[in-house]
Amino acid sequence: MSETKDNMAALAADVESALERKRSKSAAAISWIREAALLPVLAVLIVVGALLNPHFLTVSNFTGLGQQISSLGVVVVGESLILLIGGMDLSLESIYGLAPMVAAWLIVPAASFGSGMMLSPYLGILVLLAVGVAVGLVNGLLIVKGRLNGFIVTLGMTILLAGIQDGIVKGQSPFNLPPEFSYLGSAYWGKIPVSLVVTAAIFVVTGLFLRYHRTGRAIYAIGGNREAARAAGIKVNRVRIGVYVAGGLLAAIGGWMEAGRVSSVAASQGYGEGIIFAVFAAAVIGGVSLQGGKGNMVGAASGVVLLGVVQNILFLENAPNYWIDAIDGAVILLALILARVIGGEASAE
Amino acid sequence: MRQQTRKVMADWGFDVNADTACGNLTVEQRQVVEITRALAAGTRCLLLDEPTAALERGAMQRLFERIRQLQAQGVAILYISHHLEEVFEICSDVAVLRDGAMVLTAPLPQVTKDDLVTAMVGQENFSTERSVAPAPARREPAGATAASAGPDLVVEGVTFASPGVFLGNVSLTIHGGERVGVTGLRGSGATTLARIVAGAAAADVGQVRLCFPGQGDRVLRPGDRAGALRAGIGYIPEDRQADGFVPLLGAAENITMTITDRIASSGFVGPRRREARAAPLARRLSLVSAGLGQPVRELSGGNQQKVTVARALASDPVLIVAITPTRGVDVASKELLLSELDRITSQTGASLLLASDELDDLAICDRVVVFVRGEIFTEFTEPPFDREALIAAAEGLGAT
Repeated sequence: MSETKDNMAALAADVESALERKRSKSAAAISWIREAALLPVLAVLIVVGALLNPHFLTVSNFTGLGQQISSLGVVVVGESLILLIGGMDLSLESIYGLAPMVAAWLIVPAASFGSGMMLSPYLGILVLLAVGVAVGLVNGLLIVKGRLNGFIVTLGMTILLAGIQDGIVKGQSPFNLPPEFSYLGSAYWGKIPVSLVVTAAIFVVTGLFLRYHRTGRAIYAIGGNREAARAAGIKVNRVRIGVYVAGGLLAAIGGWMEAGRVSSVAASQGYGEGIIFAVFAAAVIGGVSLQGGKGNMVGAASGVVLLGVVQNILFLENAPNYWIDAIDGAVILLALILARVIGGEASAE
Repeated sequence: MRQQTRKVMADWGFDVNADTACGNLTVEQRQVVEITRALAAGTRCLLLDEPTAALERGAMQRLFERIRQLQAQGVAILYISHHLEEVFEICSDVAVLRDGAMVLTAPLPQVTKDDLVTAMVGQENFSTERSVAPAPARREPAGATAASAGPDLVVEGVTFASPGVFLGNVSLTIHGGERVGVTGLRGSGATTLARIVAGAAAADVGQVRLCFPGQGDRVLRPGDRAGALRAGIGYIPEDRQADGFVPLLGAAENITMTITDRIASSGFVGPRRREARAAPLARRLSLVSAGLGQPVRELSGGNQQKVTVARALASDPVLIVAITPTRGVDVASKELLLSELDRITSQTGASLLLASDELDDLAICDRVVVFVRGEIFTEFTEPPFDREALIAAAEGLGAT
């Protein structure tokens, strides 16, 4: 008797799941549309840009734009990872400034506001990466092991690092960076900027890692429900610290690109420019949730491109300087609303 | 206001400081806060959704008294519950919903318990007798068959103290293949012991180890859930919403979360392989979903619990730690989950540590250990277990 009942139940479940699978196929199509929600907005912007200015749709404008958004893009990857585990890191903007600053200070001669140590540029690059990793590790340990609030820890950290950035060069901006150091941010392969290629590669690798690697999946699990992830045997603390380290490293690489692009490290690079707002805006416009566990690299990348195109159009149109920030803010709000309206409530990834 | 709060909580049997943040209360205390808040507002119509899910018996009776009082005052009450006894105890009319449709509405005196169960399950031939003692064929005791040569679990001198729960120097051995129930009132420590064994909580003092026959002991690091999982301990947590699943991720991904290390090749694993691994378990537990990729958030409570159970079973555990595995699930799912736990432990020779205060859950065990105030009070070794005797023991009355 009970066996027939079990069989009946199993059969019913089979039929039901077959029906549901049909439904879920159309659901998958809808979720794909949502994932690409920003593409139509982007298309409209490009048409608008082309109509407004003949220089917009040129190769040189696009390569320049690509180089500009690359450095921001790498930081957005780092911040997205941290947002995905349900964290938040304000200090990435200061790592973006401090890491190249320390490296440049060690590399360039005293006449270019260096320390006079004249370190080899390659060693300088290692130092730069080490600064990113070290700050990320300290953040991670304080937040995860020390159980301190991530917002406050990284707020304190960002001010501290920006102060060090100013302090070591007494507010000067080291310049005349050696070509080995500047290569990443300034060189071109044919007509394509190296930094754009590297950033695109970082997006793709991170995206695949998040989608298919077990640690990437663990990041979604931790951001979605930390206690459930722990109960399932995921080493939650280790992954969280690792993500803060990765965030620090990526922010340092972003800062390295920016320094190479302008061939100097401004004392205001990062914190002074307040790039963290653009970083958060790009990530959130791209659908990365501030609550964690939700978002992907396709979205984050389209957020970065969208912000870059808007700024590029404003720049080409000679938008009045005093109003640039206001227009910027308005565009961010508008993009957020659009992404919300088109995207609706997306699921994980 | 504080005085009133104190008085209300004292009425419910809790000594709680009125200024305590609700987050620091126990689940049960929080439930009482919720209920009293709803009652306090001079309600005309009161909706209670599974109000007894986290209440122990005394508190339940107090709740029923209040409900009867309100009823007498002319308040309309909509009472949602899986527990038929409760329905018969305090309701005047009953409605049964199944698969989104109202299948039965009637004044209570006109229906029997069997009618209700039939309406809920939707099959005429469903027998209520089964739910009392679901174990089909009693398994041979541990050691009698070759299949049950799993490790013994030894808990030695475990002491644990936190607000509301205390365990004092508890020792317990579960032999390979043995199924042991632990029960007691809330705060008796039964649940906490299970959490300590699973590595979800860390004992202050004492040791938990697995003794593999002929291979020596494996001492578990306190509070190391990942280590316990690797040692072969599957875990069905008490509160599935809090730590049973990741709501945004799909069913297959939740189910295989405990075995990503095994199914990934050089760290990588795709949705197809996850679903291939999850599908047999999902089928066995009759999981109903829109494909195994559907976010678990969208599933019903019973199906969410099936995902939580499947996640624990996926790792082929040598010991399953289950805490209230059928809480808040419908009659059919409950039956299915219990018979599946029973079948899996029989087939694989896995041991079971089941913490629950429901006799239906405990019925699949070979032995039931009763906890009172953080210590082992008594033990029942002869199934079937007697409900009255278990309740009396849990209250700390009449040994054996």
